[in-house]
Amino acid sequence: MPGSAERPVHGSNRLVLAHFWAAFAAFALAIPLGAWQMLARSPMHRWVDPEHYYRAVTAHGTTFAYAFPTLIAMGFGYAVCAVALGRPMHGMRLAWASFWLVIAGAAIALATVAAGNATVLYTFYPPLAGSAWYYIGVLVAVVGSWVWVGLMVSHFARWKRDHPGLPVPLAMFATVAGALLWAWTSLGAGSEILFLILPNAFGWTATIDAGLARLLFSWTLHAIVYFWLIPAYIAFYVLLPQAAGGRLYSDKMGRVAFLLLLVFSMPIGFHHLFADPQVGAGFKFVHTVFTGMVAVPTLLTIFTICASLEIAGRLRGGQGVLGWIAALPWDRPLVLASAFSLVMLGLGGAGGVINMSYALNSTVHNTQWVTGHFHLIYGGAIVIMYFAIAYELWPRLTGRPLAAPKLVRLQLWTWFVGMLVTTLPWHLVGLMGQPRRMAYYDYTDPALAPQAIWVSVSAVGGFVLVFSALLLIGVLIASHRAPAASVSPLTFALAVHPPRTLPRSLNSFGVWMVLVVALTVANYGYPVAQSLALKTTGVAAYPVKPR
Amino acid sequence: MKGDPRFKTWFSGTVVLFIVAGVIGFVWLPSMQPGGTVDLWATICRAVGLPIGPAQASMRAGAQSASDVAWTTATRALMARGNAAHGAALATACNNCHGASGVSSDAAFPNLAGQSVDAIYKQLEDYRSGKRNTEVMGVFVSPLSPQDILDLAAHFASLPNPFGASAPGPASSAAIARNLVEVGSPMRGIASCATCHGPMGLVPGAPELRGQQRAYLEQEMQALKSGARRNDISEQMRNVARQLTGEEIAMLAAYYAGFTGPIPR
Repeated sequence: MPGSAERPVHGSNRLVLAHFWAAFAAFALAIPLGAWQMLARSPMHRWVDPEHYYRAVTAHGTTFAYAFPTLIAMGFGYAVCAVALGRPMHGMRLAWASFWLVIAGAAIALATVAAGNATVLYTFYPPLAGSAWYYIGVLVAVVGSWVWVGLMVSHFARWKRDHPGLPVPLAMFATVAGALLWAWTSLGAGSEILFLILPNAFGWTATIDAGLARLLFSWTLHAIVYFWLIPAYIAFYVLLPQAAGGRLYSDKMGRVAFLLLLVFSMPIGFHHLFADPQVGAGFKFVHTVFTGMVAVPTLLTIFTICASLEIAGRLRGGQGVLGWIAALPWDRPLVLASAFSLVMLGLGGAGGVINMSYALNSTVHNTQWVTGHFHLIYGGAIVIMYFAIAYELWPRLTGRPLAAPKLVRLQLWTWFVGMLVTTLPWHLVGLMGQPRRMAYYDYTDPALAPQAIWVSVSAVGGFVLVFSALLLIGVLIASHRAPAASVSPLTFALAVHPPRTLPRSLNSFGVWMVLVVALTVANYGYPVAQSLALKTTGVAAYPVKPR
Repeated sequence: MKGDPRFKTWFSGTVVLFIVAGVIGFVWLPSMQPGGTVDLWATICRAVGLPIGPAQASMRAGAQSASDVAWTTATRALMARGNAAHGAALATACNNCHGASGVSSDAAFPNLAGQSVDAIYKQLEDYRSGKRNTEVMGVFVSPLSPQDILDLAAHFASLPNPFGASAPGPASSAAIARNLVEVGSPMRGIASCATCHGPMGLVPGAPELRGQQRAYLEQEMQALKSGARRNDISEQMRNVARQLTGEEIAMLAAYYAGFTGPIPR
């Protein structure tokens, strides 16, 4: 593997570090807001002004939907690009410009929220209407990330041109899959803002088509989670086998998984709209079926990762059917985090199957179950892998070893336990019928009283997460300030049988994008066209103003 | 396809999946629904989301409507055409009762300052069409043209609402009233007042009630309860008022009137 100790990720250190630090700064601000919300609507706190509650929810959601994961994906993408392709990056100025666009966009959006001018929640469903600055901020951040998409695709294309016939390294292949997925899926919310929300905010249209806006947002809303997930999966495939002391079971399986995510994670968004009247029931069913298909790459990944870990465990002397598990190096952050992540992915995935089932969904629709679900999957399974990625990258980026390995393990444990304590009762309360998106509940009402204890447990979990977040920031700062030492360069796991040549279908995206677009047209074309054709679907915007 | 047979496998697999899902979703499942038709084409149309038959028919059924105002796209576009300056000139006729700044000094006459365009527009239209009792207001509204009504709505909406940032006063009945305002009474089918009338939010056509005059509020809720006032679309307020006791109505009026703030001079 090319690379030296001085320039472990080929001169892009500062760029990657900037992305990670910005992401974790946003993270550190938004986590306490989340814990406060859990407390504020629990029976342990008096009722709060709903305006403040929703403002906090909007800030928390906006940070974690648009700023934090985007910065992590971009930063990790640059690190992968530099290390996997093994040569200096081009377009560094563009990369910095895109970084500042994301920062500026997020700052504009969050300042508008803080001023109380955009208390619209991060999903900003019309006819709720906040200040135009909020949407402009989100749009600027998204446009910034598109520059990153362009850079990833350009590096991929140049490398392929210079290395005809050679397989693109898996990590880079997966990063480009994530970038393309993001480019295509962000068009939904992007066009919603551009063509529906902003014209209304500027007073050019008297009404807004709330149904069409929800259709377009669902275009983004589900696949965005897979965009968040892809860095975690990349870590599973290319960092974990090596950290565990083994090899990747199958390189090709990884490519198939990322391609399936690219193809199937977008045209399935209607499972967020099962209760919406503007979509025909037939389309909802078709989306259910395709949502079922995105479970396939996750199952493939779990199989491949478990197989890779078994290889590592047996190489380390593990015996018997399960003995290899005990033989794994559990003191390494990446191994520990991955195991936690897989547990949470398993639990969250099982909940997800319930959400996507057209029939079962009605039981949990719009309840706290849904918020519990996405916190478990995203805040749990995905974000814990972001931590692991940061721990893996930090020594390589700073040239200093990771400080306090024990605290690192404590941080991962507290995040895992905190997330389970937060989200499992949250699911339960949803099953008991508690609606989501409400600022307070009267637990003295006999109908709600049984939920009180579980909401309180959940709120306690929230503060465990705050503790864990503080640990993370502390460890990262301490490591950054530690004395410099020699650090081994970042390398990616080798497969048991590294591919020498690959069929075109596992080494390129052009033809796959045709399938992506075709599926989008098939699954979204008619409902969107119908909404556009109907002239009677406009409603008045419902402006959100500060009080 | 393009040198790799795997593409063909993936593409045809996806197409087959789409067709199977489509047949189940657009044909089989909808035809199993109760009330499903035997007509295959109608079944597919319903699953696709095409309305079957004239959708307006059921909406037109029933007796006389409560109001001629409907919150349609056309109404929204119309309401955007109000001229507040012209409305201010017309409002000199309103000031005797409703106050020069839109804040009344008599508890029987409602404050109009800072109400939404839709709230003012709907009430004036209802007076004009006779959907709301015209005893007092009829003589003032009858000379107004449709554009005058739009202008007056724009004018009153442009006045600052002096109670927008106010808090409820320490009324003795606050516990009961506050509970009705913030939570409603689900077992009686009463939604929380605050979600439509402030402070939690405002929906199109619903007036802001913070700081509203006590006697006026009480009188109007009583009128809705008895059915003397019937210009609320879909009876949404009559259904609530019928469930309220006279005592609760008085407490609610006092509660909303108790929102105090500085009155602009």
